[in-house]
Amino acid sequence: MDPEVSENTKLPSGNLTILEWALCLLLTAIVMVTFVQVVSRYVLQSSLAWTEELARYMFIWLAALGAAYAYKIKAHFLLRFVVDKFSLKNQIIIATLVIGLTSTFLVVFIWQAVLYVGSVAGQTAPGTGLSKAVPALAAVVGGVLMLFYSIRNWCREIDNLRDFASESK
Amino acid sequence: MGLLLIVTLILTMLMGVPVGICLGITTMVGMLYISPDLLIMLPQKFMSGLDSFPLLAIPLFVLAGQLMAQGGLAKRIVELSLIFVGQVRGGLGMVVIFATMLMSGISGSPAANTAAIGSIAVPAMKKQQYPTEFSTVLLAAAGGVSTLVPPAIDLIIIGVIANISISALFAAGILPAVLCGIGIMALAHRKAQNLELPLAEPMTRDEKRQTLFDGLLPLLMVVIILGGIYGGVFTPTEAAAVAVVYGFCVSFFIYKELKLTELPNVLLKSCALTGVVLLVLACAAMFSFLLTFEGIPLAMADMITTYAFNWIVFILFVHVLFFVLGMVMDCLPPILILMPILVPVASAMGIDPVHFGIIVAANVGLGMVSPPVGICLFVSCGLSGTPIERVVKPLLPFLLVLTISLMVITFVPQVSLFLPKLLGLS
Repeated sequence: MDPEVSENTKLPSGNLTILEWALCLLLTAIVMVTFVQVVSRYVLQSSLAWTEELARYMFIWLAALGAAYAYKIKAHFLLRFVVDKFSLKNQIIIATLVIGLTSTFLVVFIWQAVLYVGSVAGQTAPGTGLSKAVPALAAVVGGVLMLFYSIRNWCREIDNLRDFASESK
Repeated sequence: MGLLLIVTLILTMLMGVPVGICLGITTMVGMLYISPDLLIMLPQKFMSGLDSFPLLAIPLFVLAGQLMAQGGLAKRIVELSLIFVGQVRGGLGMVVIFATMLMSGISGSPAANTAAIGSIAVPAMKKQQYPTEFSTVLLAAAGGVSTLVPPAIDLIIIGVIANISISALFAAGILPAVLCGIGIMALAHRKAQNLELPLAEPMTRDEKRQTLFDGLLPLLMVVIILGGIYGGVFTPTEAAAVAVVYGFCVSFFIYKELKLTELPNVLLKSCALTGVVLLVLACAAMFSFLLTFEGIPLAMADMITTYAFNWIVFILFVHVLFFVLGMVMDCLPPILILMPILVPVASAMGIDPVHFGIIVAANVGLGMVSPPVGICLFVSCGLSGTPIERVVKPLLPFLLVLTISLMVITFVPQVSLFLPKLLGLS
């Protein structure tokens, strides 16, 4: 089940983008908060009420932004062996169909996620006192970024396929 | 309705849509078919699928593994393993298996383990005249076994999805992993004898002492993780955080092999892998909701109990189902969608849920080694630069050994349940 971030997926070589910074900070913060939970229980002899909830909320953000980042570096698991058998022209049509379906789903998802954020905005979480809109917003932001990167990947793929097609002519 | 969902899912997958998004699109189509009012459940189920403290262990164990690979701990595990099995014919091959399993005791990701050990072991095996195909399949087979070694991500997900104790699953995976490990090690030894491969250069007593000393710190990490969980000191998620802090301190302050400038890459690799797994997981939660709303799991469970009239038929059906699905796709979606349906049926037939979880994890491991889409096979072929077609034939004996081990794990429940019972977890 375990997808691989292979060596040919492009990881940043120079400056980090805001998304990459956010991911690094979130993962570091999750480690620290969970570690603090253990330390406070054994060293300070008191369990903190907010650590688990905060770690869960950061994890939801990490999952949503991580999914978008995996889109960016094309790390998501997908089946290519059928599509690769088609002609270049048909591959362009399939890629366009794929982006059409993906973006329809993501637009519906983002729209529903916005409604969902509105519906939980008044509720507060018991441990941290944060609004429940805070974790819910991750679905909106993650959805928008996935939409952005999927469209960008599609544009690049179409360009590549066209280049291949003109070269093979 | 069922047909519409199956057709949408298969079509989108074949078109090359990422698997998580395929599940999302299928759910959306199903919801539009029933009532557009259901669409609000998309983000709600996306959130509830992710809102779980045990799942946090996934990015943390992956990060611990990445830190080990980058920080020189994986290299020392390979060197340490050489002391134990280096002087046997095919010893280096056994080292690969032994080290991958040791490494799996820290990182939950089989692909990451295969890559971490393989990048060190493949050049070493080449130097010792191991045929490339042989070293490639050895590495892939060892990676497949690591789905059973705690803290495997698959075990965490099976525990969360099917509501089985993760600690019990971790304990239950150990003996089956040892069984599979011994099986493929014996095969590696036999093959090495046939090929008359050279022995590793013997170490002097001082070298052995130094290697043992160097390898103690990575070994201690396994002890901290498993000892901490079973000693009741911390939960698996907390153990993962402790492993990250420990791994960082050892590789940064003691081995001094990890540079701060490399840290963003290590973190981002873990984030990307987490993002891939969790998108599928969250979208599968939406899809499962739709199936439950339509009563499909109940109908499927009824159908299974009608045709699978005893537990043996049922378990063989499960094996065939997961093996066939594992041959054409990533195993995460089948686990996420089928486990909530299959676990109650298994319990009703008298199969212990922990045992059932291990059976499925072992099957998934086999799928990771099998062509055409086995991820461990992909990683090891990538590392050795061998096309998959060339390794299919040498892979067959390994697949046979793993299949026999799978049958033993299936039909001798004590192999899985002995340790959880001993530890009072089952």
